[in-house]
Amino acid sequence: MKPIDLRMEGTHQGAIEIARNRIIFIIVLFTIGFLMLAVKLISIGIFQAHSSSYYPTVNSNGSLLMARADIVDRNGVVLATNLKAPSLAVSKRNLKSPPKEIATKIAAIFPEITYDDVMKILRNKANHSWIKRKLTPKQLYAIKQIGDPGLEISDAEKRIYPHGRLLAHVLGALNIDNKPLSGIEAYFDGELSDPAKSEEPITLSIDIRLQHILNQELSLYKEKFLALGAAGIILDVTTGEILALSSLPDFDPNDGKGPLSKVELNRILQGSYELGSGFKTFTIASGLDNNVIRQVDSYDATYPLRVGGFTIRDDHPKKRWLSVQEIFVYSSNIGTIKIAQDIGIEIQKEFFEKLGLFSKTKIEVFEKTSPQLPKQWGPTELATTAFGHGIAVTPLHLASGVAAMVNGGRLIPATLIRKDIVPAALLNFVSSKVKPDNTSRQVISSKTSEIMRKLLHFAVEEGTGKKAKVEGYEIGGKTGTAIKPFENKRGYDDKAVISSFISIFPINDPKYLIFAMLDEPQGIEETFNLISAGMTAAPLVGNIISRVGPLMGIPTTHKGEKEYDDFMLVSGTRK
Amino acid sequence: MIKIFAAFAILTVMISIGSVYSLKQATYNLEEKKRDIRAKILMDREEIKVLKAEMSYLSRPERLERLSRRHLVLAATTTNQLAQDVGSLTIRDNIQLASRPVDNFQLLLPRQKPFLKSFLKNKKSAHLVKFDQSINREKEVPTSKENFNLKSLYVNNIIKTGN
Repeated sequence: MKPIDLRMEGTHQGAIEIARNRIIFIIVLFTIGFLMLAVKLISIGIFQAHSSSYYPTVNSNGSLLMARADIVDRNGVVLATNLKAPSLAVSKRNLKSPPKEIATKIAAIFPEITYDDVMKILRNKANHSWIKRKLTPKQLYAIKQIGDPGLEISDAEKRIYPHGRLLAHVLGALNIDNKPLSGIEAYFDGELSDPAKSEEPITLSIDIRLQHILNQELSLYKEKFLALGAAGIILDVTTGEILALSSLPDFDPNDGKGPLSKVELNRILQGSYELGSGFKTFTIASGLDNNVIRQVDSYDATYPLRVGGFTIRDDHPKKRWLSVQEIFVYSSNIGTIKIAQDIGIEIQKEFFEKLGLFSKTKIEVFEKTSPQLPKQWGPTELATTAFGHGIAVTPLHLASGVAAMVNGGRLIPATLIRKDIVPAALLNFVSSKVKPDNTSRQVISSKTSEIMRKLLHFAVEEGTGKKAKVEGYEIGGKTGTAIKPFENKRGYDDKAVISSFISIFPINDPKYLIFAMLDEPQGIEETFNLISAGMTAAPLVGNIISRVGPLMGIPTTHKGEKEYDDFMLVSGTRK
Repeated sequence: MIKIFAAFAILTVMISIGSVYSLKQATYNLEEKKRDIRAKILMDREEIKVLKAEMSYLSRPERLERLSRRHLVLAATTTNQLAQDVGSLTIRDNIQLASRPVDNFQLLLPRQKPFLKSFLKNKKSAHLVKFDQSINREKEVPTSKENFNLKSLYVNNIIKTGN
């Protein structure tokens, strides 16, 4: 069948043609429009890369918390961390409740803010004003319970030190604007505030358990002897790591104020003292290492010595000839000066410089002082520095130096950062195999170091440090009682002393060095009013060792070992 | 023919447009989910931080010491509770030690009774020891063992009743 082809003619035909053309025109328009839509849709779907910038991110550095890294101790215990601490502000325009009611409620939540304080804030002209910064979670909850839209809470953070005062001097503190004031916080501010490293904590060499023991014993003895201050340090002589560092009085880093007065300075790193007899270790080691003296040599310590207008006496006078061993063990000033005179100024100076006593320590904090050295080196200075007067160094200088005397002669710069990063579970097995690091320098021969160990051991067994003895452990140590110079005038105050004791244990295989000092201890009945280091600082260190030893699993040794049988104290003969 | 082809082409374009759109939408949903999870992770991390700080605060050595003194009958180890090694715990010579290869935690292995050893030292022939031991047993066992048991029973009872 053929389709019928109908055609109109005349005026009708013209009208239909126009209608048709218009319809086609509209169809074409719509087709083009839909095609464009389709092309656009395909191009969006296929060609345009999916970009996350369309969506809001949580924070530019990917964390809700301001990125300041934690600080942990060598076993991973958190020492400093950032927590949310919102701030409270008031916007008077949005306030719904009457100001008096709000003031009453707020004053009830914060003990340090009174009703009048809040009213003052509410009455002033500014619309938006702060009431309290760094709220605790409890306070935040209480504020939310009030439920007034005018009370605005904004996110902020606070640095928290869970251990409070315990490590104040090492960690330092942040102020209220989270800017570091001192300590590790200030020294490692770059690393700690680096957003890329916010998840990597800084691991200190400090062991919080040892820190507690040191701190507790120091504060106990500070009270006991009514001392102005006390300070101590526990050092690993094989690695140079500081396991505990304490200085009293201290401050609370959570306050955001840092050390306020001169009293609160870090005595171990900032205080430079004439530390007294501890220096005899260096003088004798220098003599032995430079082959100026031998153990069996002896010196006349019968009469006091006059040097540069001062008369120098022995604190424990024997009034006879003393061998080098005896000079050290009985802490004879006269004998030590005579040894120093044999050594000579140049060698002595060079030796002190080699031990790093002439420059600042390399410890990782900014607040450390340079030693105070004699302006010129004459016979008087040679004599006084030999027994630790006329030269003021920080206790850390002395500790690092003595560590080098006993660990085989290597001077290892003390550090606050843990050296061997190994999992805590493996620590016991790995720590004994820690390789000696490359930063150390040989300052005396290992043979001299061995002699020094014996001398130090004997000073505890027979000499001035008897009170530091601990049953089961063989320890070495040297007392140091130094008279303090007057603050305002020349000369020394006989009644004000710095009593210190530096000790190493176990002495046959040195591991820990423990230093403790008391600033101006007062005599008490128990010590017959004596304030010498042997009576004050030595028992303090003894107590610390008796607690640290078992904790760190240092095996005890039996008494009366053969090793020291041939090592007798004999009266010296003329050289 | 051309109509079928055109219809097929339009259908294909429609289907592909639809699938691309749904794929896009699914990706967007996943993206949103990811964002939510990331926010949750951050919140959890924050909470972990709080908990760690709290853990550190609650396990302050000073606090643990105080609590242990109040609640436990334990004291800190003293130096006379430590020994250099297991061997120094016994006065016996010729001891045997055993340990697992991993931790090197040594243990004393049980040995002959000391009285036998001292006997062995004095008398050199082995069969004499056996002989002598049997005689000892015959003599001692009936009386002493009974007494011992009685005594230990008595002691145990006292401990139990707390008298």
